[in-house]
Amino acid sequence: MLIDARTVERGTTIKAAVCVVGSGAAGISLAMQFRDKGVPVVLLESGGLTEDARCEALNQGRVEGTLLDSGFWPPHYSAVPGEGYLAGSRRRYFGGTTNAWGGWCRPFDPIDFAEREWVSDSGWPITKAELAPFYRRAAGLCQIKPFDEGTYHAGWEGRPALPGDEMGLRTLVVYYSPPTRFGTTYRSALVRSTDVRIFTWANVVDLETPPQANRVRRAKVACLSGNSFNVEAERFVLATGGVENARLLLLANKVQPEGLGNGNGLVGRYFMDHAYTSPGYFLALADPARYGLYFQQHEGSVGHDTLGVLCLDEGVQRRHRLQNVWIALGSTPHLPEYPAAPEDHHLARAVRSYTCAPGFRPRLITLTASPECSPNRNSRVTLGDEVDALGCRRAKVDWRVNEADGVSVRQSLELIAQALGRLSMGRVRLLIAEDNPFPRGWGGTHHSGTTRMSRDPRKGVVNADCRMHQVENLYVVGSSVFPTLGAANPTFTIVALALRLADHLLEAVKR
Amino acid sequence: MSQPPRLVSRRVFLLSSLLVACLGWLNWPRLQGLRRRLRHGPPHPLLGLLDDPGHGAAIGREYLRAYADEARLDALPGLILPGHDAAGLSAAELRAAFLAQVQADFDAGRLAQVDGWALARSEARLFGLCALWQSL
Repeated sequence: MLIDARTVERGTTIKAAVCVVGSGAAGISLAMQFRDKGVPVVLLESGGLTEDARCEALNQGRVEGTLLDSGFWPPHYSAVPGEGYLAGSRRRYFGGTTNAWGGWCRPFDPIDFAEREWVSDSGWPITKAELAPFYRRAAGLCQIKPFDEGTYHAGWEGRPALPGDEMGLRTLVVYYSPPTRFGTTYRSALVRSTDVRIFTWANVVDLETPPQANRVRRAKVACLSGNSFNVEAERFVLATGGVENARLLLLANKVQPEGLGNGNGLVGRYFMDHAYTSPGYFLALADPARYGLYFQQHEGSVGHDTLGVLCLDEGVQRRHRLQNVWIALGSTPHLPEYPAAPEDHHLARAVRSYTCAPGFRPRLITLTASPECSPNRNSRVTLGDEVDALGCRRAKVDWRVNEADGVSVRQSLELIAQALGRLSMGRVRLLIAEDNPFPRGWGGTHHSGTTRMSRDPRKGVVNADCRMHQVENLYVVGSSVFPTLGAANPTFTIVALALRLADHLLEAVKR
Repeated sequence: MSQPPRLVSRRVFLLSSLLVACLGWLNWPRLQGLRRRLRHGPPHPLLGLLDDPGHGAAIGREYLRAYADEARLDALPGLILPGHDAAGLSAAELRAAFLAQVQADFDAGRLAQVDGWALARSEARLFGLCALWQSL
């Protein structure tokens, strides 16, 4: 059932077993599991069915941080550092940010879940193996074919990977979703469901609690049109993204001034993102056919497209105390072919003399790094001084990375350069300096970590079931619960976690 | 008194001079090579690994700036291919020996970063040798 919240009678209280706030990848994946289960669910969406400027303006906020200070910022977002990082990268209408999703799907690697002594505050309370069944189901929702569950690959459907070597050079395959726009793809299924009521134009502006602040009584909903009403539910789920999940908890501060469930001061902290960068070039000395897997190829068959990226295996990461990183060969989507190095390129001309057959033209390829940025307690989302059109304080993001993050990228690329040379594949030019570890970089806008998951209430906001440690009927799902971000794009893991939470909630509701 | 007959006309002389200058300018590296060859003997056989040592020299100058203690024409070849007498090897043998040395460098992590490029130490030294030879 689809309901325009602007038409709901003011002051009404809507009742449900489960109230899901947010209809992005997490919220819709969750709601889809409740169809025909006999459990009444309310799904609240801030916007309508299509983009609306007034609603998108609610995404605006302030961004600062050390990366900005060092000149790191994506020029394609905006000439003004930070502008667009919050408003331009997220979407507030049915389907959420999947409406702007690139479609990259890849499960996190086993090591991404591990506690690593060289990565501060690392370690998930769940393992890759526990999440594996949900990744399989997530593939269906993301419309990718069943994928190879191995961590590393020797090739994919006739396209060989570069040979792995004992130094740890590995290839892993990323799968492309069409990309699935969850709003349009799953709308009719949800609207047909008698169990799920979707309210569009419904912004949660407060979560009301009893004086102990140990459970949510009701969500206060406001519309930009001025209407307002309440939703009461046995269980609430926040699924509004890595920034908004924290913001909503911080805004719910009438009883607990520091924010709901924030007794340990962790809500909003440990904000993470992928600090993408172009760390150098690869001079390819082998036949370009050997690099086919590393093209961003779109073959036109839904869920069938893949991209190979280079990485270092888990053993090497452990031995060298490195964080995970992907190195993609090429930074331009749909690049028809790798360009040949110009004839006046000194190194290409020199090295090809003794490594290549006469007449061979080496290719010069721009590298792109997707590095894991480790948790940093001082990297955080807080409430800014400005208020939005609903009278709520806007988010302020102070994104900080650790010095180790840059060191890790550089060391990883040095090892990859050595391995590629060893395999006679080519030579690598490193453009990352100790004082500028993220040259020519941009944010992945994979906002994460602000309601991190931990078994220990002193170290995390939610437990392994995504339930808040301090609020017994409030769950949070999405990248905000990631304790670490890995190198992979987050959406696939967000969907897997939402499916896992759906199973947990269905079980809990039965009890 | 009649003037002696000219061997070449002024016009022919000027045009010839211009032609020689142009050819010299066009073949300056080759002329330089000839000058070096006359002064210092034939180039080291290792330089024959490159189609055009000028490209190697462009990189090698950077290498020699970083490793100035290696900027010696008498010592550098021995560092590039230790244990081999390059002069006693055929071109194919020399190429094979050099590639094996490059491989051994990558295996052992003996790398040099030159202008950011992660190179096998031997090839970086070869480029250094090119630069040294060109600087003569």
